[in-house]
Formats: sequence, C-alpha cells, structure tokens
Amino acid sequence: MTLGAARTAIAGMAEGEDTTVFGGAEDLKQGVREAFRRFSPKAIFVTSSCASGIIGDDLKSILAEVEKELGIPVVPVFCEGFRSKVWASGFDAAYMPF
Amino acid sequence: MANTEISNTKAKTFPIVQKTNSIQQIRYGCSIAALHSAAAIPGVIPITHCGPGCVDKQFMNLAFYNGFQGGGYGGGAVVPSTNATEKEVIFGGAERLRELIAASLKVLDADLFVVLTGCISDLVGDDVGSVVSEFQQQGAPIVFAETGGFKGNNFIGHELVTQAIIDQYVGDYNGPQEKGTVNVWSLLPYHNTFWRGDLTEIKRILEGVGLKVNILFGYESEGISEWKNIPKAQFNLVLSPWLGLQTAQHLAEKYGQPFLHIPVIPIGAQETSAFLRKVVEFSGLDTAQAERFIAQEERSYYNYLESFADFYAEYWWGLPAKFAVVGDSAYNLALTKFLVNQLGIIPGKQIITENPPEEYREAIRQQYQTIAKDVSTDVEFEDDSYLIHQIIRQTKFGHKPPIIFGTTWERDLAKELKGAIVEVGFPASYEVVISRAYIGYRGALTLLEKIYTTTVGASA
Repeated sequence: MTLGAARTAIAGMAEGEDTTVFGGAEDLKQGVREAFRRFSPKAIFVTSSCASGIIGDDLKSILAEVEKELGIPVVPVFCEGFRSKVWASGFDAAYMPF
Repeated sequence: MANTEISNTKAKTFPIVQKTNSIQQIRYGCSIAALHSAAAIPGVIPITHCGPGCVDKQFMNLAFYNGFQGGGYGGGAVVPSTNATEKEVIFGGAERLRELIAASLKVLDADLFVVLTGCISDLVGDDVGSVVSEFQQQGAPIVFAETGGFKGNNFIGHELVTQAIIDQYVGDYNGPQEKGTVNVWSLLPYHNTFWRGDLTEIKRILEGVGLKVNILFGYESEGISEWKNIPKAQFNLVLSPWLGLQTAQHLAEKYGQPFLHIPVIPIGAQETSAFLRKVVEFSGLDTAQAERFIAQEERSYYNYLESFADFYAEYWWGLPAKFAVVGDSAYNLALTKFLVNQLGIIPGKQIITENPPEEYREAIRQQYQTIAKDVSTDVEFEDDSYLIHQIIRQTKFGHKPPIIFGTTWERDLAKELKGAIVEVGFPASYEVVISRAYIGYRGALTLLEKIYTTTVGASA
C-alpha cells in the first residue's frame, strides 16, 4: 500500500456451504490470484471472517504460499468478528502487519 | 483458459477473464440480512444471535446506503444481538442467547420476535431451536430461523424467515377459506429500495378490483394478524420471478391453498391491467367491478401520459434509444417489460444479479425471450461487478449513449460510457426514498418522471 495517491481496491469471495464444510484453502488462493490478475497491486491484504476463523483455515500458511507465487506481500489480517466488540480493533489488526 | 481482448470506444483493451469465485461490489447481503424481512412486518422485532457488527453492517447495507430507508419500529439500532465473542465460539452461545431473549421480552414491546442466527452459531452448532422452544412453551410470541451467512444471500434468508413464521407462529389450520382474500408474496423488503411505496400500490390496485389483501409487509400491513390469517385466504399470489415460490408451495402443502404465479411485476397501464385481469380470473371475482376500476385507472393514467407525449415526441435534443438493466430479477424483468412495451426503447443488455437458484433460471430466460410480440432478448446471470461492467462495456449501444438502470455500482461506468444512470436497486446510495413507487399505474408515472428528468438534466 503506497501513501498519498493510494489506490486500493476491494474484492471479496462468497463463502458458501461447500467451503464451510470442506475448507476454503483452494478458493482463497484462487481469490488472491484473481485480485492480482485484475488489479496488479503492490500488496494484497486478506481479512478473515467469523466463518473462516471457526472452520480454521490456516491463513498464515496458505497466504505464505501465494506470496511466494506472486512475489508481492500477501498479508493476513485477523479480524474475525467475534474477536472484539470494539470496531476499532479491526483497524488495529489491519495496522499490525506494518 | 483463453484470454480474449476486446476494445471499447476509447481504444482501451480489457482482457476478458472466465467466471471466477471473486465478487466485486456485491449486490446482496448475507442470509442474516433477512432480519429486515422480520422488521418489515409491523410490530415484529428480530433478535440476532451473531457476531458484533453483523446487524450494523446489514442495516447500513440494506436500509441506509440503499435509499436511506431507516430502521422503522423494529429494525436498525433497535435489533438486539448476542454480539458473540470468543467465549460463545468455544463454549457455545445458548446461554447468552437465553439471557438476551429474556431481556428482550422484558424491555421491548413486540407482537412477535424472530430469532435469526449468524455464522458463528450455525458453525459451532448452538441448539437455538431448544432455547427458543423454552420461551415458546411459556407462551412468548417468538420463532427462530437458522440464517447463518454461508447459507446463501438475503433472498434465501427471506424465505427461511417466512417459513419459520408460518410453521412456528401461524401453525395448523383446518377451517374454511375466505373467497376473495389473497396473500401477496412479492418484493424483498428493504432490499428492493422502493418496496414500501410499491407494496402500497400493489395493495391499492388489488383492493380496487375487489380483493381483500394480506400484503404482509410494510406500512399498509396490519402486521402479524395478517400472518395469522394466511391460512384463511382463498389463494396465494406470488408476484415475482421466483422469490416466494418456495413459500407458496409450502402453503399449498400445509393448508391446501392454490397459488397464482405472476413473474412480471406490473409497471404501466398495459401490464397492470393485464395483471389485474389474470388475478380476477384466477380468483373468480366479479369482472364488472374489476373492469370499472381498470377503466378508471387507465383513464387517469393515459390523461397524464397524453400530455407527456408532447415531450416524448418533440424533445429533439435526444432521448436514449437503448437501455441496459442491471439488477435483481424482479425489477429487471418488470423494467424491461415496461421499457420495451410502453416506451419502445430497445433492450441492449439485461443482467440479473441476485444469483437466483438454478432451477428457476430457464423460466426467467423464457420471460425475456417473449418480452413483447415482436421483441425477444437474452438475459445473463452475473453477480460479480467486474464481469458485469466488462459485459456492459462490450455491449453495442449504437451511436447514442445508453441509459443504464442499475445501482450505485454502475455510476462510474455510466460516466465512462457518457450515458445516463437511474438507480433502481440495491445499492441505491444516491436516492432518498420515502414513499416513492415505480410499480403499478401510479409508479409508472413516477418512474417516467425520474427517467426523463435524468436524461434532460444530463445536458445541464
């Protein structure tokens, strides 16, 4: 993420019942690759949800693999909803990687 | 996977990518957003068993940055939530939910509470049914629906809620059915931005032809007393391409009620009069009264339209010739029908965005193929805005800029194509909607005002 004239884009992936039952590792990698293909970003941040947190997808290692593949920082942000009742905790989680 | 490149008028190239599992600028909420379907029934308050923030998010999505509709009696900031934390994830949330329901019953005044669950509870397997049934057995007016986000979007959630109310609150019925009474299953409350005005108009015109109407949602509804009377109605009317069919089929099994399915929600006199005649025929009502009402409505409608025709025929600075509609199937089909048949605008591209279940898609396609006596068009199903915008960029709109009936997500695209945009669906973040309708006789005239104010204003 560059400061100043920062251009950021947000993309998402809908997690259906298949992903909750079988896990979302492959879907996640595809999502990250697709974001890279669409935007050619300098970095990608992946935020986690309650569903992915409870299922227990190993964000750290999945994203480490994709990072190697793409050659740009691919960073997990652990902000599952149940972690805190304070909205701003999510912002703190996002700034942690810095 | 072949990547083909296409160019638009600015000689930029956009590689087309195959369908992926990525979705940009989403056009629906998750299943728990169906809390709005509960809140849309006067006197009903949803209670949510989910993480902290889910309800705020879905409220802001559906009822704030979508027409700035507000929460009403039982929505918005009123909705209680368990605000589940790691404690509920690890140890389960049943106790917390029990505590919340007891508190809600004490503090809030509602005719019915509807408990909706989120991802956390559905994943860790909280036995919400047994917690709620403790209160049901004490006579509290409360039901539950398992609407964990991953179940589907808010269209799916909506029918989970309606069926929960029917099965757990309305219950069994073995009595007679009243001729001339109808239950209406139509637009998705809050999601369809103009639902309040629209349902008011739908109720008005059905009453006009002599029906007693359970509109079920919105300000014209009596609230849960209408829901209690559902089994007494002569028939169910499913007025939408697919939403409500499952509910109607369930009611047919449970109460033996027939249902009439009319996929095209009527806009304008031609479609509205045809709609009313179909309903009257199905219900066996007195056609004389219906025809008197229709004649009256058409007289008024065409009086206004006659004056409008001066503008439509003479405005020589250019009116759009081709349109695109991007939105949920209900409004998409209704608009396409109206624009083609009553305005003679040519369909450029139609994209349905709410991801309707596969089993309904062929019937929906058929509707577009028979949109007018001499017009047949295709419809695509796509919910990823990235792909939707690629499709629109590639569409040939002729030498005139297109008019796009879409959402806030299409605003930049419309600017890029130097076209006009009318926001007709979720998210409509640049519309403030109070009682405006686009459906029926009255709605069509409002819609025409909106369309042509937009196109005329574009040159200002």
